[in-house]
Amino acid sequence: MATQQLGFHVDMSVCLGCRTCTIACKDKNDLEVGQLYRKVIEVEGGDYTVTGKAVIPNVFAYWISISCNHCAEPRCLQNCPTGAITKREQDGVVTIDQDVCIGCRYCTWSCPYDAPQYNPAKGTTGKCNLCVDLIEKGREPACVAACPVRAIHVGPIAELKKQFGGTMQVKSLPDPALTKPNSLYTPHRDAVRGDASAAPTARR
Amino acid sequence: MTTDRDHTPGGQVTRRTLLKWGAVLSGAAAVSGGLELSGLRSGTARAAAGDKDVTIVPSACAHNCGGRCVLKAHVKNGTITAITTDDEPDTADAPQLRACMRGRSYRTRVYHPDRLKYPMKRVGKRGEGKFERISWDEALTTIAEQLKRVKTKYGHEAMYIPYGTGNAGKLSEGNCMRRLLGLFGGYLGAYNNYSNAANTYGTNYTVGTENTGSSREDLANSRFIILWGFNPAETVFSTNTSYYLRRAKEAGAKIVVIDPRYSDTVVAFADQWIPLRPTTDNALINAIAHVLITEKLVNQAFLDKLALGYDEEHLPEGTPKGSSFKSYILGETDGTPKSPEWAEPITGIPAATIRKLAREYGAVKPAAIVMGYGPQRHAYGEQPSRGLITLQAMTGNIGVAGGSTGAMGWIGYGRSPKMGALPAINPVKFSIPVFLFTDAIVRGTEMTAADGVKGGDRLPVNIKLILNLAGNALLNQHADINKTAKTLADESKVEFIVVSEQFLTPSARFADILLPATTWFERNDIATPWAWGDYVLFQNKAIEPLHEAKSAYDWVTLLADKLGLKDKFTEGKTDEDWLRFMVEDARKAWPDFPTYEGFKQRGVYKYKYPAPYVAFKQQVEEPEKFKFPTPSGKIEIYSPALVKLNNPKEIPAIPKYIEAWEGPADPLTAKYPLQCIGWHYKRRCHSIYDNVPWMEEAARQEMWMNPIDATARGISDGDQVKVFNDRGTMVLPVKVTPRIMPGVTAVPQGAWWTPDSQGIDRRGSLNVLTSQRPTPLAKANPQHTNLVQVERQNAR
Amino acid sequence: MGRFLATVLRRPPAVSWQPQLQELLAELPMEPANPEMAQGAGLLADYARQAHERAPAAEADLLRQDFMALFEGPGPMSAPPWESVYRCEEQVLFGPCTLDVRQAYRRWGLGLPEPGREPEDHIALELEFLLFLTERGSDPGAAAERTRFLREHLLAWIRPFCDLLEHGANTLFYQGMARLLLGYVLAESMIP
Repeated sequence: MATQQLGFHVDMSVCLGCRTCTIACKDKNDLEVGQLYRKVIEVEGGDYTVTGKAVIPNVFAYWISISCNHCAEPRCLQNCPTGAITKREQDGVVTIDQDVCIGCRYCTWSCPYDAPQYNPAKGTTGKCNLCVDLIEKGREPACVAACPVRAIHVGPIAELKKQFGGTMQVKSLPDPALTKPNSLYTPHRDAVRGDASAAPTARR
Repeated sequence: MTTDRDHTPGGQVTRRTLLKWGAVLSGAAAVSGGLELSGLRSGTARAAAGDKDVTIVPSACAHNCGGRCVLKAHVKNGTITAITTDDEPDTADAPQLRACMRGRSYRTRVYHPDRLKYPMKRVGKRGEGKFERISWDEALTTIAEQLKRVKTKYGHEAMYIPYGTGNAGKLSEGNCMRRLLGLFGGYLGAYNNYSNAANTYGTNYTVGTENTGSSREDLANSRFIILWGFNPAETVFSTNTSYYLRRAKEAGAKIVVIDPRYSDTVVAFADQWIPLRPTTDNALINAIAHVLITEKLVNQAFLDKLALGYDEEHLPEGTPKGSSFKSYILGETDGTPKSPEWAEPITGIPAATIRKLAREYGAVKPAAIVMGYGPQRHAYGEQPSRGLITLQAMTGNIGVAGGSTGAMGWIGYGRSPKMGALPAINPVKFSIPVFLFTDAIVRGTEMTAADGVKGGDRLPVNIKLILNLAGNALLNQHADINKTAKTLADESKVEFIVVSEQFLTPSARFADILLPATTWFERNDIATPWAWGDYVLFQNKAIEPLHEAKSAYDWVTLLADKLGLKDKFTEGKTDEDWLRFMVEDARKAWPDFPTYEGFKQRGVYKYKYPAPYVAFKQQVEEPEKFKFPTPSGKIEIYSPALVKLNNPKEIPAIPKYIEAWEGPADPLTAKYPLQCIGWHYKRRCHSIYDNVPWMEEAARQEMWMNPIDATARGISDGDQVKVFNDRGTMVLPVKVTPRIMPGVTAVPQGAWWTPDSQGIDRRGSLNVLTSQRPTPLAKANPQHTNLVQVERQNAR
Repeated sequence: MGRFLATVLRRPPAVSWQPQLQELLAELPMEPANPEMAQGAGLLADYARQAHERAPAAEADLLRQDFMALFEGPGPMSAPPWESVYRCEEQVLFGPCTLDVRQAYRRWGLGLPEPGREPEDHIALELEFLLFLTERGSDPGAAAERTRFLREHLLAWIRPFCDLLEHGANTLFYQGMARLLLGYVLAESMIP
């Protein structure tokens, strides 16, 4: 267990789906099309009742902005054959050492959140490192500082829990029991797990 | 050794082989005359200490989404390596001005390989896209000669600068050129815009001004907010508007969004979504009014005091009986009460939903209605603004904290930053509505006041010369692209077209002379927000202009020189001298405004105000002392000025529902059964960013279609579909989604028209489908009034 | 040959040197160092034979049009001539590899007359730099730089660039140039 596990809190209930977080992240990490260290998944569903000319909607949609969750039991780390993936002692951030990574892609296959992103040009895999370089300089990660509605927060996960509450029990996300992710979501009104409404379609 | 073995891969190669080639071939270079290698030079490299350090240069994103946001360029060795946004303290009274993903992608736009690099002249047919590189001197000499020729042959009224907002800086191409042409003798003026012309007329005829907005922090005082076709989550429409909505929601307001699409704003903020058939807004407005009247939810005292023509008792003298809004709603003259049951088949909204909405809206106070610009971009776009102001008057929500005036309006100059501008005077008095510029090309001399011509009876000449600067409304953003392209391609009509651009846009393809423009990271300028926003931004030059691009002030000065107007144009000032002059102006009006140097260094100045601004507060609280700026001094629900226009069917004296041509009830639905609207997509600002790969990855160009309509046509999510009407055809991928109501399709506006050999647009540029028929009063663009058919495209 | 390639990849051949160009090309193919070069020379010889029939001005016009479509625009180019487009992750100009190339030039006191206006990793500039280093072959520092520059830059993008060039070109001239360029860089890389 890390001394002070860091992580993200995302307030899905006000997320615009504007994807500013993904672009700020791409700019910081120099990512070409096809690689997203933070992505925004669109989830939608529902239908209509049409009576005569009247249309009654029963529709929902929400966004899941998600990056690496710096899991307590990271599958990527467990499956990395080279030891390139480590979980930092001081803050629990999971990183991939680019000098050690051989681009075998086992991590990309084993992560239930699709967090590690293979870079064909470099032949290695990269992912969100929580912008630890910025945090060390006292600044916020690119996505946090970018969000136009201030819906992403970073900090010790225990403190975030106290401040915002939140859960990983979010509709359309994998069961958190798999990897024990260190992220928190304030669910969107339509993303509360256990809600019996129609099955959603997720689009990346 | 040079042997036959050298022919095999991996064979030994020696220097001698290559030198032997060189001996012969280098002759080519030797005899090439002016063809020197203008490449690497020695002694030019500065190996200054600290070269590796990153400098952070404040600039701003100033395209035309309504927002203006802080962008900071991280510059290393003269090259931008990253972009960040506002990092000043994020406080309640001065929130950070955070850029959206468009601005954040800017590095890939500045360094896009397709940037226009050199001045070019057209060599093929106009519009064909064949160009040849020329020098700046040749380009500007040609432009100067053409200006002189057209001046002599046709006069100044034949010169025109189309609407264009790609560069919203104070020293933009448009602002510089308007100054120069003014000094040269003038040009055909223009009024209106493609965003909100109908709304401007609607608000002016009702409350006497377009500045009808309260400040956004006042939304937190609302308990009930109706966002009427308003989608700031994508459009942005001023920096932080979504953030203020978040605050309003957290303060406890219930938010209802009325929109044919389950927009991103609905996702983030709506407690209720009510889909409405495009162009039927006033039917819903009428039905809400009907419920308010019949269920006694009307603030009669407010209306008695402040409104003209709500009921028969408050009509101007001599007005025929039954002319009031209330009579119309109750059906007292036409026998048709405008009840929720009446509105249901028109709008597609169940009567019960309307009744519930009206009751809640009538009961919960204060309530704000915030209209977007989409609802007024249709056949009778003047009506929604007038109708919504009427609703807010009926419920007494105008002029109170947490209320609103109903129509879309910004704060106006009462609270906007005061800032000087590049002086420009146009000696030509004639002007036209921007949307009718293609008419002025084809039949200008037939155009009169009936076509919105101002400044004289009839245009003396058709448009013969066009300077299209930082804009794509010459073609792509104007309506009916196929028709416009034909008009522009005819060299006997417009004889000379100049385009200044950063990329080869669809409009730029029609240039005779094409000039490479800088981005804001390559020049100094000042940007001010238009809709809302209490701040101004400085755009610092962060890098040298790329390739041979020149900033507006630089090349327009060179052009002025060729016209013998350099001294008059510059007044001996550099670009920074002018910016300094503007800042001095700001300092006169606002003593706390920083010095030029201080402003430039910080890159932003944020005004602070003690309280939210509430529009028409004085007029409502002290009506004896303060009048609405209308002829009667009241809210003119009934407008005598509109009666004088003598077109009661299309320009009624009171706000009415007028069945739109190409609306859901048009008989044309037999042939084209689907309505097609546009929307402002999060990945573009109008047509800007369409060629940025990061943006295509984030939000690809695609049409939205309801599963009910898709299934009926055998269309599946992701298919390529053909969308067409009599004006044009496009092919693009479809997103089959419940996020749009049945019977309506939507193509996000601004994609770059890309016709194939058959003239079919392969990119999905909405204006292939739109009409050039203007609205009756404002002569505004009706861009969301389209009927289409959609088919699955067989070839995938 | 490097200088010749750098010249024709930098500017379209002018009318004034059409006759000489064709005379030179008519002597091809010469002794090539590898199959790529042989193919390139063959294509250029074919070109010279065809072009001989046409007026120099018309010929220069054709080549200029092809040059613009390939390297200059306006609008999307079929073979953008900058390394960063092929190697930088965002496929833009002035990417990290451009900065690395700039540093390499600087180590030898070289630079562009107007720095910052155009990227340093234009193919013609990289060829010029290679020539510059080759001419200083006796200097071990230059030799090491040459090896490094070939490996880390020219060889890292020359194949995709030449592929686009060959397939995007409408004239035999630039198709031939694509093969010749590839052959040349490969040949240079085999010389220690």
